[in-house]
Formats: sequence, C-alpha cells, structure tokens
Amino acid sequence: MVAASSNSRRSFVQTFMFWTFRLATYFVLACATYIFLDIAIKGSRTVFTNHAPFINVKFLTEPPQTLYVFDYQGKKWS
Amino acid sequence: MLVSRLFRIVAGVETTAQELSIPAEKSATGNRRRTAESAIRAFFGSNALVAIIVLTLITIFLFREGSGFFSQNLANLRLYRQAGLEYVDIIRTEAEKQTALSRQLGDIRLQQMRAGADQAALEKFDQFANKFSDTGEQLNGLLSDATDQAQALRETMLQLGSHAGASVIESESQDEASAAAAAPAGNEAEQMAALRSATDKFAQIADSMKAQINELLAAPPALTSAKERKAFAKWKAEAEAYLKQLPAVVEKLRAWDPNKPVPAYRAITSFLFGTQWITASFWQDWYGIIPLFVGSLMVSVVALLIAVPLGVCGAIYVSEVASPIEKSLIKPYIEFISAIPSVVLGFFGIAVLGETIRAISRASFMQWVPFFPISERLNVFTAGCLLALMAVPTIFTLAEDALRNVPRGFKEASYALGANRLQTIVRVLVPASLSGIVSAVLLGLGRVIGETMVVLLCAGNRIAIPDFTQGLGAFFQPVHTMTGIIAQEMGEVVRGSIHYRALFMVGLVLFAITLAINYGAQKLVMRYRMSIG
Repeated sequence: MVAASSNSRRSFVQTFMFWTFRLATYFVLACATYIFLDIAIKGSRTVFTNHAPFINVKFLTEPPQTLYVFDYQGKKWS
Repeated sequence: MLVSRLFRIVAGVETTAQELSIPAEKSATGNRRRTAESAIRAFFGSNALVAIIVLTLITIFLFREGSGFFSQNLANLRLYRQAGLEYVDIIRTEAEKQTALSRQLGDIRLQQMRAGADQAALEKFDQFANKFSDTGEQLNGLLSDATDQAQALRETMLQLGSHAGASVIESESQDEASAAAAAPAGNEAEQMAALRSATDKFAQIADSMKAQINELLAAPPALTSAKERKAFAKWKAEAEAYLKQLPAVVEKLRAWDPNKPVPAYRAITSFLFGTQWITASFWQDWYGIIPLFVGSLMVSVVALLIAVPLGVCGAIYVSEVASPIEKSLIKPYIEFISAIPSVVLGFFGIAVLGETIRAISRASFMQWVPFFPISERLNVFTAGCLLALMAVPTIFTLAEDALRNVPRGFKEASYALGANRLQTIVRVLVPASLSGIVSAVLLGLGRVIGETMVVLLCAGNRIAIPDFTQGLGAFFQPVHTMTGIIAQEMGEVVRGSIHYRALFMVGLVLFAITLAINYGAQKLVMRYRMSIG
C-alpha cells in the first residue's frame, strides 16, 4: 500500500515536472512566434498593398520623410 | 643457362630498381603532405596571430584613451573646491532639504484631498504649507547669490590658470577658457572672502528659519484621518531633525577650507563609488559609475531570472523528454531567436511590451500590487524581459549540448539501479553536465551585460539609482546602463575631453567585468567538472 502510494506520488511529480519543462519550452516558442508575427503583420501592412502590383513601391523607393525637419521657401531642410 | 641467369639478373635489377623507386615516391608524397600541413598551419596560425594583435591593439587603445581620465578628474575636483563650488553645494544641500520637506507637505495635502477633506481644512493646510515654503525664501536667495559668486570665481581662476591642475583643464576645455576670457579678472582672495561671508548670513537665516518653523510646528493644521496624521507626524519629525542639524552645517561652513588639498585617490573613488553622472552641467560635472553599474546589474538580474529557468528547462525537455519530431522543430526554432536583430527587439519593447506592461499595471485586478500602476513603460523590467529572450538561445543551446554529451552509460546505469526518468535527469544527467550548464548561464550573462541596443531603447535612460525603498517597485523604474551611456554619449563628446575619457573608463570597467565573468566561468567549470570519460 505504502509502496503503491509512493510510486503514484513519484509518477505525479515526474509528470508535473515534465509538463513544467514542456510549458517553459513552449512559452519561449510562443513569445518568439508572437514577435515574429507582430513584426511580419505590421511590416506587411506597409510593404504590401491590396492592389497590383501588390508591393508598396513608393515606400521602398522614396527617401524617408522623417529626415526632413522643416520646409523653407518650398525646399526641405534637414 | 646463360639466358636463365640473364633473366635472373634482369629480374634482380628490376626488383632493386622497384624497391628503390617506392621509398622515393613515398618520400615525395610525404614532403608534399608536410608542405600542405605547414601551409595550413601557417594560415590558421597567422589568422590567430592577427586576431591576438587586433585584440591587443584594442585593449591598448582603451587603456590609452581612458588613462588620462584620473588626472583630469582630479583637476576637476580641485577646481571644484578651490573655486568654492563645494562650499556653495553645502548650502544647496540645505536648501534642497527644505524644498523636499515642502514637497512632502504637498503629498500630504493630496492624500487629504483624496480622503475627501472639506475645503476649510484644506485651506488651513495650504496656509501652513505656504508659510513653511516661505521660510526657505531667504535661503534660496543666499544660494542664488553664492552660486553667481562661485561661478565668477571659477571663471577668474580658469582665466588666470591659478588653480591646481590648471594646465589639464585649460588644455582640454578650450570653450570654457575662451568664455572665461570675456569675464572680468578680479582678485581671487577678495572674491573668495565675499563668497565666504555667506557663512554668517547662513547662520542668521538658519536662526530665523528655526524660529519660524518652530512657531509653525507649535500650531499644526488639524487633520481628519489617521493616515494623514501619521504622515504629518513623520514629516514633523523630519522637519525637527532638519532644524536640529542646521548649527552643525554652520560649523561645517566655517571649517570649510578652499586650500585643503584634494587627495589623488579621490579621482578614482569619485569615479568608482560616485553616485552621480552629470555631464555638460553649468555647475559641476560628475562622473560616478554607480548609477550605471546598478542599472546594468538590475537589468542583468531580471534577464537571468527569466532566461535561466526557461533556457535550462527547455534544454532538459528537448534533450530528455521531447519526441524526435519535437526535437527537430524546437531546437532550430529557439536557435533562430538569436537571429532577431537587437534593434528590432528594442523597437518591439517600446511599441508593444512596454505598453502592455503599463496597461497590465493599470488594470483593476492588479491593484493589490503595492507599486502598481507604474508610470514609466520603459524600465528595468521591460529591458530585462527582452534581454532574457536574447539570452535564452545561448543558454538553451549550450545547456542542451552539455546534457547530450553525458555518456549513455550514465543514463543506462541509473535506469538499471531502478531510477525513473526524472530521478535520472535530476540526480545523474544535470550533475554530470553541470559544468556545461554553468558555462551556458555565464555566457548568457556575458551576452546580457554587453548588450547595448535593447537597453538603450527600453531601459528608460534615467541616470539615477532607483528608489529601493519601494522594494520590488525599483525594478519598474527607468535606469541607464554602462553600455547604453557609451552608445548614447560617445557621438557627442569632444575628443580628449574629460567626458570622452570617462566614457572610455566605463568601457574599461565593462571590459574588466566581462573578463571576471569569463574567469569565474572557468573556475566554476573546473570546480564542478565531473568525470564523464
């Protein structure tokens, strides 16, 4: 009776610990997946468009607007 | 007969020739192999030599650029004393204490208002708080005058080059010297005498403040709730302690001597144990590394507290528990995390993680946490979480390798003795691979402490030691780190200035810490190495 109880407890502890290891591993995977998806989804909204040629050519070819600080006499200054 | 003899002679000659030709061929092949080996050896050896030379040059450069810091810092500290800035800072400290007490009264008022105190009670409290605030007016006036006098004296000294270590300061701060040239030259002794006359004024002001504050304390405002009464009692005790130490401050001002030499070791201790990193100040620059060191340490602690359990548990799971299909998917996936650029992670920290943590801290179900809601989204915890994600692949990969390298016989012997899988992992595999796991953790620490971009973007960049009186709340305050300060300020400093050299000294301290971690890792590995041969 005592031996059976002890075995059952050991088995429970083993299962619990293995699930802990499993959860820790999949938690890391979930975090990484979330980051990858977040970057991919938010990035693709800018890079791709819903009309032909389905790529935001303007975004990829024009210089970044944020580098211009102010406009003066129709000219952009940085 | 002859023919047969001839045949034998010819056969003998051929055999001899053949025997002679084989060693010659072998020798030629051996020579070619040796030449190839020598070339390969020379190639790799020269590469290693180039790497060593480059590292040595980098180290020499670091030391060369950083070495001038201490002499410049000493000159800076001497000027601070000789120009009377130190004297003025004694007065400034007292003025700041009075302001802090006044601010505390404002906090108590806020508590009162939140508790629903009536308007009349609040007005009476405001009168009390305003009167207390007014007691500091004279002191602030004196401080303002003394500040101007000390600045004028410093400019005079810089112009005349009369202070100790003037050559160092003058050669390094051309701008300051040119600004000083515009200042009227005056008699230093007279200026110092005028500045020191503030001692008597301070004594008079202290007496006046004492009388006014004691009068105020004799008639405190009525407070409704017990919480505010307790807060006010604490404030009152602090105010009384403030008044009690004012005569000692007067004595300190009287005893202060501008000609008292500043010992050389102060240049080192003010850097290594200094709690202020203030640069480009109108008053005095301070280069104390402690706030930066504490920031780096706190971020690393948070990162390791998260990364070590996740990395080691992941390694155990993949090595011993996971199915072959899981193994083939999980291992490359986790290793792929290290491919995320740190700037992308930092950006993610600002845009997503920091906001999420702040939103959670503001949720109603989290209000039982004493330091929630947090005010800053970029703090130690945000940076630590992201650094943990960066350290997990390092810890996971190395720990998994260490576990996999334990001989199969160990595991089989454990099973043969009746141990189950968990017992085998905990009692046999982990101890046998402990040296590898410890190395993995320390390499993870090295990765975390040397990381720049994530901490620069996500740690908040406030150069101050967090308020540890808030307990764990200190981990939700912004900090700056050693790597972050170098990245942030190196592009703006004047080459050769004290600030430039101070940044190199921070780099040297970082270098020393990394060396110490590696040395510690080796020592730990040697100590815990278990024979697995």
